[in-house]
Amino acid sequence: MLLRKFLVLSMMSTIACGLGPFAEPGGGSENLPQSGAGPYLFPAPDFDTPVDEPYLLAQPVVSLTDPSVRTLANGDYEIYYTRNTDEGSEIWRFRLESLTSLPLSPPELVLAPSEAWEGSGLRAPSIVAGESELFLYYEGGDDAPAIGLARSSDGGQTFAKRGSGALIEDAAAPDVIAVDDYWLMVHASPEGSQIFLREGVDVDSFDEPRSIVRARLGVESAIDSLGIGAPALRRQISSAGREHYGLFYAGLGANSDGDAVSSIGYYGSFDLLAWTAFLGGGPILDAEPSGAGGPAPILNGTNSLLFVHQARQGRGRIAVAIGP
Amino acid sequence: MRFQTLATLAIAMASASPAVANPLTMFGAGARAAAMGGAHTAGARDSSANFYNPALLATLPTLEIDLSYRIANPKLRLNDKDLGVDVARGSQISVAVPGELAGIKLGAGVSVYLPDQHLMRIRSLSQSQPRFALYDNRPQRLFLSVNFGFAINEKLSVGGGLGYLTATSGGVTLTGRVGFPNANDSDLVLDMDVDITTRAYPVAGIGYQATPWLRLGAAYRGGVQPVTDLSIDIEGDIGAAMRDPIVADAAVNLRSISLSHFQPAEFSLGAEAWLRETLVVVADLSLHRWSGFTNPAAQLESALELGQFNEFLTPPEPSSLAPANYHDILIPRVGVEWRALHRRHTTLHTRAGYSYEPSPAPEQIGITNFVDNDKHTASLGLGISLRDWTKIFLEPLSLDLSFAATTLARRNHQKLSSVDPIGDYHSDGTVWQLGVTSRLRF
Repeated sequence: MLLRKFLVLSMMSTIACGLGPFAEPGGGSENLPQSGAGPYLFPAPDFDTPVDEPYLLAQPVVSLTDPSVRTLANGDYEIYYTRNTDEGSEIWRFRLESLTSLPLSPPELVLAPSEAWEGSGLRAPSIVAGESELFLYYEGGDDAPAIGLARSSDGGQTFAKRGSGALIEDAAAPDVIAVDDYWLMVHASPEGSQIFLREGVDVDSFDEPRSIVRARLGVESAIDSLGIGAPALRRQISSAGREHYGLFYAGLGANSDGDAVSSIGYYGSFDLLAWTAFLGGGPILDAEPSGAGGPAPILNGTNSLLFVHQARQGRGRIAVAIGP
Repeated sequence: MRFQTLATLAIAMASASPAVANPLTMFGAGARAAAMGGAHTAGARDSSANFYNPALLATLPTLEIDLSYRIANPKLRLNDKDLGVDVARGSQISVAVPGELAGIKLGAGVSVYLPDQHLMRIRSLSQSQPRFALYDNRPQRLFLSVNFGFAINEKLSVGGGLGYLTATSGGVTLTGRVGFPNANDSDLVLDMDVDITTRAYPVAGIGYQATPWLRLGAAYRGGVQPVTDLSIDIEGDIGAAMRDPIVADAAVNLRSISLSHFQPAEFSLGAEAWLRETLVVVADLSLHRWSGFTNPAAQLESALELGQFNEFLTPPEPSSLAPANYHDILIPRVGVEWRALHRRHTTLHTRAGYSYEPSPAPEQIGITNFVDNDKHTASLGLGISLRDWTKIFLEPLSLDLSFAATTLARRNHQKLSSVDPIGDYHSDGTVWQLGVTSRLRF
């Protein structure tokens, strides 16, 4: 009894001193590490910003898909994407100062189909910064998708396509990362049943593909029961020097109404050989009801971003989701 | 006894978070002890005996009132980034009263530590959220101890008493009608019922003056694991006023149970050696039983009764908590005090200390992230005693200062799973501590 009275007196004393009411929230939760696996969430609309969160870019008539993001030295985001029209598709880009600001300038055309193998469309850009050049991998072709490469030696102002043929035949949705003195490319099979990995000694010289992930075709509850594609590979080195690879992908599955819907999934690996599905192969982004595709993650250890496209009113828009 | 509103108010105003052990274990009781590495199981010669070894209370010559203040500023990092762990500040009041009863020399002591940011913090983080489990909130709690010491003979003294930590149980109940579709139309009665209970643990010690220059000591501090049990219950109808309810007798119940306030049992052996008249060396070896530490994350239970809407809602499954797998640790501590100046009115002591506290936590390779590191603490201090400066105080007035720096040795945590949402990381950090104690003797 005496002790309890003492406790009450202590509380009252503290409150009387004005200490309690000004107590700050408990600390210790800043800069928490994260691997980037997710799960991700779309930011809620913020009426104090000019942006229609979570959308970064939307345009009338045309559909915008497959973002690929380059972070510039000044912190700006340069976002390459596919601009789809009834006539075909091209690769465009726009630049953002922040995720809560409008594009700094109108989107601009980067690459249009011009070669015979490209058919009427270029799609799924993957922008890679080299030491002195930019490399833009893309998918082209109408009936037989293939991967092409364009290079820029003027900081991205102009891109020159590599020769007149495709870099890799019978492949779709490339994503490439530079690793020290070699290159890693992931891409989807044209029919969307699996994801392949290729290693390269140069930007335009890759080994034979190795299948690393297969769609769970026919598995009713799987997010990739109908197909898999749009892979995005990210490599991180832990403080202990251990390599870690994250593979983001878009799975095509069926919702409860039987309609096809695209979801983002994630696989992780320490050695590029054994891959483990996160959340049991479930979606890492709650993108109901219209789903999301074309993942393009930016991982920095504490604040991960996942750029995607999402269909709204029948057209794709470029959106961003925030990591945990 | 229930403190209902007052207690709830206090809890609501305080930010909540889990705590382990107590702040004095962490930063020392009093500036002299803190400056000497906390090695006071045999070396306590002030009211800090109340914390380190109650047997030594019987050896104090005068009544003492010690007022202390300390501040510890942690800079704890994961992947070289500061987590923003709270600064720990608090006051300590300790009183030691010597006496004699039936020819037996004895002493009594009371010590209170009162943090000045939070009286108590209750926060249950997810077990996967990284946090420095021992540092994050360990200092943020009220502490009280009451002890007695008895001198069996000229050489041997024993002591014991109780230490107290706080625990919390209770909850918030809302009864009445929940407005739907207009929530502002609700008609609810709020009943807050929270108990702040105390958990006592035993403290015992023994002191032995082996030779005129050597004193030995042993102390035991009991372990305790208070339960934090909080609930929120909403019970009543759902619907608009003056109409038949959409759902009658609906209920939403959420209960959180956590064992987050763990304090390990501690056994300490100590020695105090007067190598010269002006030089004393102290040393301790303490066993901390961290193997009893359980996962401090909250065990959540929920229940929903929403009539025809039940089929649309699935209460989350009770969370499964992984074992913490902490282990016992041995902590060596050493300290030295040198009387640098001794004049008629003034005596100046310089002090230094060191302690090594190995981490009880395993490498965090799974779902939990209860991070901890091996800790090296180096300390320095000054003590000044003033005598005969005034006729008001016949005994010397003392002022002790301490400064300590704790380095958390870098540690890697490599996850077993390649899809761990946190991933690999390394932890390290520093903690800067300052303390001051003023001592009145009568």
